[in-house]
Amino acid sequence: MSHTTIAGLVVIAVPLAFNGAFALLAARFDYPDILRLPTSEVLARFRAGGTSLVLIWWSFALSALLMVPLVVLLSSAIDDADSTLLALATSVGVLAALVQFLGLVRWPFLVPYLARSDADPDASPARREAVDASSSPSTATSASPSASTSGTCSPARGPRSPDARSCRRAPFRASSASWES
Amino acid sequence: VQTSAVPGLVGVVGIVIGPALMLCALEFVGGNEPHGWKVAERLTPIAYVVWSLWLVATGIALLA
Repeated sequence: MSHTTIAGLVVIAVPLAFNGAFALLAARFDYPDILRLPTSEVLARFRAGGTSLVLIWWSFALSALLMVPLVVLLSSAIDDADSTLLALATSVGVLAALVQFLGLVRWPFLVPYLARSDADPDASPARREAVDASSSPSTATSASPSASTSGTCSPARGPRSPDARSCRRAPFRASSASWES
Repeated sequence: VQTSAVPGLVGVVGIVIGPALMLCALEFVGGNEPHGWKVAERLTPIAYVVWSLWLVATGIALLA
């Protein structure tokens, strides 16, 4: 099998995998609309999702990482183009994939801990505040195609829109998206 | 556009999609924080769907 054939197959498979994982998250976790909700509600929904939800998040993160071989293989398949342009495009593509992966990988690794901490009945108010605060920096660079869109916290968005207090307390809202996201 | 591996149109479409995705990344940047930029908000899902379809089309063109 030639490099071009492998590149073609990967270029077809990766967006399907990414969108498939995204669709599963939308169905199971109401993602990305859930990002509008306050931290405690997001974490409660995450806990309710169980292990299968964590695995879906893990798959979603891995699909972002698959962009790395995609970019490299695609670059190899069109090697008759300008070499400087190919090198630049490959570098940007690999970096974009890593940014996307880092934005998503917190969900299968960091968020389960935050969700458990939030559910601990013995947790002090200070610890709950720490969980809330921990969510902000860890989620600030979330990158998913629609995370930025639906993460918006606007009171004028209809019945599902959060009130002003929720808007201030919605640290899971992604603030940026690019491929990514 | 420069390669013979896929039709030039594939490259042209990619050149259009790239800046659109960069524009979407500005949704919460600077003065758009915290409520977001409506234009980018509407453009983001469309841009990512088109981008995904473009990738699939590129793969098919490579296999053809």
